[in-house]
Amino acid sequence: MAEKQQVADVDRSLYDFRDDETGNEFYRIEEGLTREIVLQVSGEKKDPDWMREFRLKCLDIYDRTEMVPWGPSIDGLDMDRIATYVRHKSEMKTDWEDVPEDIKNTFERLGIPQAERESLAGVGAQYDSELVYHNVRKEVAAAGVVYTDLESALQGEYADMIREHFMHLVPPTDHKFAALHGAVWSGGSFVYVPKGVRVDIPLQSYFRLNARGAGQFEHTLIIVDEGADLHFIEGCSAPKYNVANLHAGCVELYVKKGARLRYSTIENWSKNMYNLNTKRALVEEDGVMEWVSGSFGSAVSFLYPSTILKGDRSRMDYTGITFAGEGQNLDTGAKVVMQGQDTACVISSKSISKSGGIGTYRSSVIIGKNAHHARVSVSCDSLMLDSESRADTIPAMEVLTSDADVGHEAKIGRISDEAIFYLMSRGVPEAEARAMIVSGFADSVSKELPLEYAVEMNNLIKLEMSGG
Amino acid sequence: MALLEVRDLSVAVDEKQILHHIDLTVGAGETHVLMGPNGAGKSTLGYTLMGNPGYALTDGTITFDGQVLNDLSADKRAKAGMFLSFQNPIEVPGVSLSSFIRNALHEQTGQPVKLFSFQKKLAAAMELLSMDETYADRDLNVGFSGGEKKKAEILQMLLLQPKLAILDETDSGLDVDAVRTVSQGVQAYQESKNGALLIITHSTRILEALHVDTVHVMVKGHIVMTGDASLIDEINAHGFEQFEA
Amino acid sequence: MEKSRLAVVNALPAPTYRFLKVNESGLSIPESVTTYPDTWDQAALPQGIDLRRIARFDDLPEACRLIETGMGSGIDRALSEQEISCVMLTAAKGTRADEPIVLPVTAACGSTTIAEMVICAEENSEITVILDMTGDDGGCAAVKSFFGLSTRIRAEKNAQVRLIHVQRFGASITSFDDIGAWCDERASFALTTLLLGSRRAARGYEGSFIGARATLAGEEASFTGRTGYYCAGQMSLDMNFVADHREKKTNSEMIFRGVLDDHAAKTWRGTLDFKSGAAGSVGDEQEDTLMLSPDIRNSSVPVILCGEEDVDGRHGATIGQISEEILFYMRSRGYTEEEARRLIVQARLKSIAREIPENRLRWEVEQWIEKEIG
Repeated sequence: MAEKQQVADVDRSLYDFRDDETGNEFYRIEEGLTREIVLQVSGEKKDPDWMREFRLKCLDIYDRTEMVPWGPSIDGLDMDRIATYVRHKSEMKTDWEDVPEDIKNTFERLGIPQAERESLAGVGAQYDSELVYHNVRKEVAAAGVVYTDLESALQGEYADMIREHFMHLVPPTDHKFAALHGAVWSGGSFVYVPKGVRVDIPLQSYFRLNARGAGQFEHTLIIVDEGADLHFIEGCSAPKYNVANLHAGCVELYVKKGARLRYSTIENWSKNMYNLNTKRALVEEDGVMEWVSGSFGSAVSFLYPSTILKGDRSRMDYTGITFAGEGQNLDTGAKVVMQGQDTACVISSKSISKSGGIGTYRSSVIIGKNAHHARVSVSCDSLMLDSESRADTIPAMEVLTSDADVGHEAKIGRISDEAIFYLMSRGVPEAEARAMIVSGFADSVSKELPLEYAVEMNNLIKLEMSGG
Repeated sequence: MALLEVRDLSVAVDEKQILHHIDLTVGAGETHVLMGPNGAGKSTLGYTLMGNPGYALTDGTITFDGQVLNDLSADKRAKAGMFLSFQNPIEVPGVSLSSFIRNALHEQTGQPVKLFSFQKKLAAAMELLSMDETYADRDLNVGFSGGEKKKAEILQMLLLQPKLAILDETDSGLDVDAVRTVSQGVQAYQESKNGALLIITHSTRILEALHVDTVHVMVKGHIVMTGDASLIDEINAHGFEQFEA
Repeated sequence: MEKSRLAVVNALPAPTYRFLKVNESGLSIPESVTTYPDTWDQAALPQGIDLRRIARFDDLPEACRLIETGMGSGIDRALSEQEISCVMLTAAKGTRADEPIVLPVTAACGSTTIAEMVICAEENSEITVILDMTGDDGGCAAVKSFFGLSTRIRAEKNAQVRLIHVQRFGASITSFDDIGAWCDERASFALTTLLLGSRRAARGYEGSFIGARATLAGEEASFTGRTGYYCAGQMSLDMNFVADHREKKTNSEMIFRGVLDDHAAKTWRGTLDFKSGAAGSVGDEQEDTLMLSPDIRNSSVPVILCGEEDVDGRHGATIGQISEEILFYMRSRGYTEEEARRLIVQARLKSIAREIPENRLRWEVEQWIEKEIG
């Protein structure tokens, strides 16, 4: 009975409520993707010339790039029915009280302002295509940490830095949706942590896509300078509509010498979302890149945070969990290219498939010719909760140097009857026993998250397990 | 001259100092016991004597049978007559137990090993250790239980006939019967070639049936006490706390 | 310039990132070929085993012809237009052949040889077939040669089929070894593949291709695969293994042990495919690759596809050098470092060679390993 109580506590409406867009507080661009629309977005954004030219170049690349021949089908996504730009008619605020009431309610229901007061060094909140709120703690700002929306940064003193880094790590030629992103990107954050500055508590950006049939294309650019340290958290949600929504964000992370960046994501887009997101990090000497990734939402996901370990002794850790439920086809994993000497990479992936959901772990590990003494450890576990679902594991490893040390382990299976029996013999009802085992399975990920996110993740698992 | 003379030996692992100024003398045919709490550095001493490249001598000398070992690789030490029974014996896929020992004998002696007499000796030793004869043709240690792995170590000791055998926790994880069997093997080694022993252990079960000459107590990388066999009873009664000042 | 036909082979059952170039491979198959050796007609056959020559592959019964293979239909298409006769070995119902049937085949210098064979094991029969593939020693590297072998196995209810393929070409010649097995209820298929490569590559060498697929179509059917390879010189080995679990309580176990030296390149694809309905099935694949030279290239793609809850699928891969731990252990027993390394490398292949159930060939292979490797 305890389980039922807990499940009832997690109300799907927590994510599923929506704001009415019919009023005149919203500006919405025409659906589809044409040169005119791209120019219109560019105009809205007051782009510098180079950015406008860049958008048009990206559109050109998009038009002549094929969709990849592998992975889930995206036939349900019709670009002619996606509005690439939707904005609330208000400026970005730095004081929570100034945020328009309807939007403020949205984020308050998601617990964002409370989280900021309690445990965050700074918060950005994006609603549809634009940031509506951005704030950073005084002491963090005083240390020289920049945390702002990308558009303001493009106009200010960091303009050159952005031009130098923007879509250099993820070029528009990378794949079709990277090109799309380049053409219509809007919103997102710019973070710069100066040399040697350690930000003790996390920064967070929360992305909310409220509009129906719209796309969100935020760009996150983070530069952690030499010896600095940052934990950045990204949360995503949207209400469910019966038409496709699209998320094609792009995250570019630069981890300089001796720096460390942890990038955590709890993704809970609604199940009509096509999540075609691209994340990439470049890590210099002695740098550390840590990815923590929980994928729960979306109809279709293509998500493979990738890392280039360029510097000697750089390392990357990836801890991820994917929960594919009814109607979901989630293709997730990680990519790493090891270039420096004595680099290390640990990938730990878990996936759960239930009620006809399809979960695919896909990865590539490339150890270059000069990546002497590279060490790689990959483990992926998949849990099948019924036979209507699928769990596929498609990893690839390419090794070009003999002194690498590569270990790979993959397991696929179900909850053991003995484990269920053991718990039931101690008085736990079967449904709760199954939920407990699944939570335990996900434990390696939740223990990497700050407490409140771990709680959110466990609630999501419980919600999924109860079929909510 | 003693068989093994360790003088002022200090050892570091990954630049962390583990052993501090160890002195130890083992005469031919003598049985020494090295005891101490977990993490005291006992196994480190065993590895260092055998020449594990991960253990760096920062000070001191190891002399064995009149030869300074400091810079010798493990195989040269084995040829000189030293043997280490590993706490966690390594699996060697694709090489059978019998061919592994036969090749090792060939490597050590430089002489061809006559198949027939080798097989006879192997069978006898396996019988002494209550090892099923099918183990001879199985890949060394692959899929062996903990107990069979330890027996396979003692089997190698019996056939390679070293002058000094270092037994690193050979009794750990064994049931009562297996400890008795292993102990019989060790006795046979003591008797047959006047073999010397350095037995590393933190329990005393394996020692019950053996004649012990000297006992050393190691705490935090130092040998803090050396005495005769009566020290074993002392430790059994009072534990190591008395030494951990 | 001789005519050839490009076949798409060894396609990965679930394609992935294109930049890895592992989704499939291409192989040019020459058009005019000689077929299987006449000597097979004189092979000593145990009681109950029949060897027949079928004029055309297309004349085979569908139950054999349509069995999917590891390299895929690209091979069949390339061969279908040629008049390639086929050898069919049949083990009659209940036959228990104790002795292996050894079929030697030599890829003569400058030749193009393609053989197609079908092994049909009727209910409750047992059959063991060894293909001993060799090449001319000596000056063969100077001319272009091609060798191909396509084998289909039909194991009916309770039948047990063992197939051993040993390749020892004097110089690396372009070759393929394509295998497909169909196992009915409680039938078992055990495959041992040993590729002992040469440092010398023959002229026009394009690669060595191996593909094997076992369709476990009956309850409790099983597949065991043991593969050993030694690739040196300019060799390029391209593999695709699939265990297709279709029925309840099917079992597969695949082990791959290999050594890469010099400039050798290897692509390995191994797939466990648990189809919906394969409840109670177990699949395990283990890959172990030893890299001896800084100029090698190794690609490994271990895939598990799963559409059934009640299965147990595992994969493990270790790619690296000889561990310091094992080296120290062996040296503590008196092995020199060089000797320890030699022994460990040879042991990889000997552990597979051990599976050869014919004494003379096993001895020859062990001799080869001791002479050529390390």
